[in-house]
Amino acid sequence: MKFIFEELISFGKKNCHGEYRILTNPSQILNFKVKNKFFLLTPFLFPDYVLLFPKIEAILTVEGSILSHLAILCREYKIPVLKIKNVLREIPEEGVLTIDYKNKLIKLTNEK
Amino acid sequence: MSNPFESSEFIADPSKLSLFIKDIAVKAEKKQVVKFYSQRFLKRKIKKISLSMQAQNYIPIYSYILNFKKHKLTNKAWENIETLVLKLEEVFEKISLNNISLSYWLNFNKNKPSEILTKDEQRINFLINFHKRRISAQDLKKTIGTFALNPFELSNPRLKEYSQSQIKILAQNAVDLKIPAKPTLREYINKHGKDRFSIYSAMREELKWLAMEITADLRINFLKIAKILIRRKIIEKQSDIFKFSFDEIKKFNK
Repeated sequence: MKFIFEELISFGKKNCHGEYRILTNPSQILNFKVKNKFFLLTPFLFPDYVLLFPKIEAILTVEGSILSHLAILCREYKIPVLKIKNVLREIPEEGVLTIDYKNKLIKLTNEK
Repeated sequence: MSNPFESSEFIADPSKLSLFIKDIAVKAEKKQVVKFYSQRFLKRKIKKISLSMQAQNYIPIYSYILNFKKHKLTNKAWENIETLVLKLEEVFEKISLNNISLSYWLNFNKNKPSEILTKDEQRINFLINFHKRRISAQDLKKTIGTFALNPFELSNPRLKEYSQSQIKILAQNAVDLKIPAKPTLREYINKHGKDRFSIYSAMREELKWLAMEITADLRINFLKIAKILIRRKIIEKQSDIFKFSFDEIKKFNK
């Protein structure tokens, strides 16, 4: 599956690749254990995700603006934030994605 | 300029009861947007000037934060809730006003990091200190006990209600964050720091913290009312209270 993105905050232009997780409610953090860095897919820029910053590679959000508090913090901690269309219900909760900055594309795959 | 804050989304999966908090936030936001943004040309010019004047002067909001007094809870849950709702409306109005100024300063400061330690960063520092065993779980609960994930959802427990293992998970996830050494809001202003974007950004967090504390008190009182409703056999368990709207709950007050 492929879809385009809009950059709210961006720091690198190199294509990147890695595991993603969908979190729809910040309360999920209480049961959330990850070892490696991951791409966070979320419907909205909930400020509570700051608690996961050391583990987050980039945030892909459906809603939110550059003035959202989380966006301001992301800028400070150099975490890219990309705005995507709402595909969260159509894709698995976990998987692997590739960000193609040149073509502003996100590609989801199952392989690791 | 459109409204960039989207407060309507600020509670994830809101319960029926928490919807009134969302309404308070949306109403406060609309009020400020109407005040400062207009579609009509002449009005737009005048409003732009008033926005600029408003954004220059952060002192009124800062004084509000400094002088804020928490409502002392009494045994009367219904009365407490009435007062707390008024306080919450007041704080959300300040948040919206602050947001308007923040958006003004963003135009001048697109890529500069904040020069002030925010409430979020202070909270993470506490969690890191807990993880490194510099403070106990009890100390943590005393300092940031009113914090909650998705804090404006009334049915969500506060950190003081979390188990030790839940606090550990929170701390573990945050422990590797390298928080730069920065002054707090008060220190920054006392040293005559000038970056308005940093000031408004930090003030927003301070105000949200106040709103979070009020919400925590609201939760306590709604749970008290839930006990009354259990005695009256209207509900079976405390968590059922969150299935009612605020207006429905008000009707039980007799």
